[in-house]
Amino acid sequence: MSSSKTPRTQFNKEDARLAITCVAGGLLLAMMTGPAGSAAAPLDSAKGALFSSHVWGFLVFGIVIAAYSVYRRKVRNGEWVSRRETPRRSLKVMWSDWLGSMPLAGWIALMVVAAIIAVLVADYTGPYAPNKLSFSQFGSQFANTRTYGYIVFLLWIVNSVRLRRSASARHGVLPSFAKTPAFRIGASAVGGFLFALCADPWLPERFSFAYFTTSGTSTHAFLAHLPTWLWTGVGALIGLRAVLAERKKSTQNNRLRPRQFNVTANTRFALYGVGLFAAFEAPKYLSPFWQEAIFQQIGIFCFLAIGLNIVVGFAGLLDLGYVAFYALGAYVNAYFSGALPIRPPFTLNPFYSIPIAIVVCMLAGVLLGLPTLRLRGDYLAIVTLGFGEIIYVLANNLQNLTGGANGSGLISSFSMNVPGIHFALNGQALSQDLDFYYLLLAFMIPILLLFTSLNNSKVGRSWAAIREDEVAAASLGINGLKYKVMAFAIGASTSGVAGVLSSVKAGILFPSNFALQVSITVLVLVIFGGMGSITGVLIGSAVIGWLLQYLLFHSFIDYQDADKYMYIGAMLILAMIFRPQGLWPAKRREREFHDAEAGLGTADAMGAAVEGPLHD
Amino acid sequence: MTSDLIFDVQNVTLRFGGVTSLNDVTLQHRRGEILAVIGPNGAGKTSLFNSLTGVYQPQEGSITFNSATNGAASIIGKVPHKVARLGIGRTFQASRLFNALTTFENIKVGVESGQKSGPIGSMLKLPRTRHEETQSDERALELLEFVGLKHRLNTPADSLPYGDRRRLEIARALGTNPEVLLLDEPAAGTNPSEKLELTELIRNIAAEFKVSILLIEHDMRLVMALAERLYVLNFGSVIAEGTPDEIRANPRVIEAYLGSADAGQAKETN
Repeated sequence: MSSSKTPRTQFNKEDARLAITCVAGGLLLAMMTGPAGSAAAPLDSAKGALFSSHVWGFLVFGIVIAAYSVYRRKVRNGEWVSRRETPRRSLKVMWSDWLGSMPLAGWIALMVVAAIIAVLVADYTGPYAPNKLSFSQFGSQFANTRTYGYIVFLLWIVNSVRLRRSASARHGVLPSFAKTPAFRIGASAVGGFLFALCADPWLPERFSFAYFTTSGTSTHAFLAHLPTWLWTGVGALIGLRAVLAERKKSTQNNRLRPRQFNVTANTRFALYGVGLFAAFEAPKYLSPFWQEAIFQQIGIFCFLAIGLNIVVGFAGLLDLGYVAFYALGAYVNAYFSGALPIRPPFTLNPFYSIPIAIVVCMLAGVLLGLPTLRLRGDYLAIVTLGFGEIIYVLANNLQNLTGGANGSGLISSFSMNVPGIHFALNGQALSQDLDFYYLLLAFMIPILLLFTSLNNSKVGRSWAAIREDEVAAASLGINGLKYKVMAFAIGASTSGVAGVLSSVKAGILFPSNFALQVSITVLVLVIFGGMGSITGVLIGSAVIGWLLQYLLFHSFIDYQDADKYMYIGAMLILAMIFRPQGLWPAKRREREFHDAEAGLGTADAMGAAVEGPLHD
Repeated sequence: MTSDLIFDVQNVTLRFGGVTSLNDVTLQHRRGEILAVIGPNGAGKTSLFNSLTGVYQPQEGSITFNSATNGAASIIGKVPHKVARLGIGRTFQASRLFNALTTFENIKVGVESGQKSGPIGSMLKLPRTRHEETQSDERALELLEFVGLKHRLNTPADSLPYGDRRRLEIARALGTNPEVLLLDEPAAGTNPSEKLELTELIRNIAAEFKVSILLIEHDMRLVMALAERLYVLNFGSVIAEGTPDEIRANPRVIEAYLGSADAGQAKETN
């Protein structure tokens, strides 16, 4: 044992270099983004920036990284080793081991915890929320049926996980009648109905999905209430899906498609249920800060990120001009709103300019993609960057077309008036933020479903193949250019939809909304969240979107809006050091990442040059 | 007469700047035949493969591919993926699997490339897409079974052992339903027992899938055991052509490739 010789701490050169770079970068960025200087005294601004809080923040940032680098090494047999070298049990394995080995008592305990959580959630979000900590109110909270709604819901989830676990471990836990499809579907439907019944009558008007009903709401007539049947239907569907999935599995022993997590259809659907439920219910109770963050920043970010994820994550192409399509979508909507100096032949509601924006952006994507996607790697990035700038400059300089730097006129908002649905939205009104959110959700959910199935299909696999080895893919007859252009076009049209939505929210368009920084920010969302993973980029959008909103609302000394890029950069650096594959990476992408680290292949279709021409 | 030849390579010359990689190569591959191309390192074997698959574009000569179903087509001037669609499958010298995909997915990529369903069908899971998905699932499973990798269904390709990687690559190429399979040194880096399995596999492929096989190989034992005819390349030119026995006896081959007659014997029996 040479433990006496080994240094107790090993702060090596690399760590030092890293820390110094971080701090120096922080200083530089603080100076660049700090108070604006004047021609008379150019140094004043730099001085001002140097003494601002950002600098201290970045000093801390560097120190934290250095400290972590030291921590990352730990002692093994008296020697310091990097923690990376020790085999790490994945969280997934630990979680599934833990679930598998849990005794019945553990499950009961878990259910009790779930019940307590449900009560607390109900308490904090219920009508008595302002007095949430007073004991008497806590009591009256129990009289609120909403509480039971939450309890039923959470117990339902916990139990579905449990039943599935015990079904695999110990057969025969369920009585035989409970295994019949009719019972399971029925029980699931009853669960949904109970939930709606418990939750609904107490809901304020918003909860009753006023968009879907013509007469608003009738508070206690839950039987005549769409949401009641909606949730019942969701319950029945969950049951049906679970039964179908199980039946399929029994005929097919091998699971052909590996999943991110090894959970069954029941659990997965329960999780989707939670997600959906949270997406519908949670925003109503949030503080104004969070509402603002979600409705304004995160919503649009999510849209942009899942679109760019197709290009960067799925097809592996670096696109730095993504904002161009966003601008295109927004200006299409502005044009058909009659908000631009150039008048349209007829004005359209944003609902109808969405399909037009999709087509326009798709065409633009194809037109840009066909010549440029023959390029590889950095060249493609440069060309797309140039395209983004062209659109930006055009928007800025074509006074007669776009209104130039003065901005467009007022853009009309969503409205729909067909039999059964009467919907009108004032996009700019704060009071209708929530309505706007539901509108976003209505667009987002189908897109998520479509893109998920796209990724799990032939197209998704072909993208992965091209990304990994274009030569091999071509030898199998895959037309690389076609798939790349396809990714480009799909990404572009998603961005176009985001453009329409955000233009409605903003009301007025300025070319400065479509600067290069937006492209970069969206790219950061994708990389930070986890390339190629839809869940990942949504998480990335949420985290970064929250951060930006937080900085804006809780502005501390001399924070300016332009400073946000510094923080985005910092988040990216943190991610690259601690979790280079992203917060929630896609399984395929994570493997590629490790392969590339081990020198096996390239992780992108943008990789090194290969022999011969690929495209004609 | 022409339909009897699956590949008709006439006087092909391929140059890179001043370097002539293939010089006036003429090669005829009969349908259903296992044909081998041998030659010392740098003789132009892989260049020939790349010319046959559209990766390289030879400056002179003609390459005709006679498909049993689609008739004759010239390879020169076609891009690789179009060449592949004609019915030409290939493997690579250093195996080029899609490492992050599973064994099953690797094969599916090959099987699916010929299917019609596009992005809209995939997004909406239209009936035809589902039907094709089931078809490709079944086909991929068959192929996996054929090459003996069914137990590795969900293993990512990067964690397969070397011999399995080789077999997976062959199965992936077979997934495109090729009429001719080009194998670039399939036995490189495999151990003797794997080589034996591989010989068996290639023979089975030729018999069961009715594909013609064009093989580049360094391992003389494998070549002599498998090939019905051989071409010998040296410095980009064909120096001999014939059955294994003829090649073994050809003095030019012995001189160029095997060194001396003694060395040839030794190499063959080692």
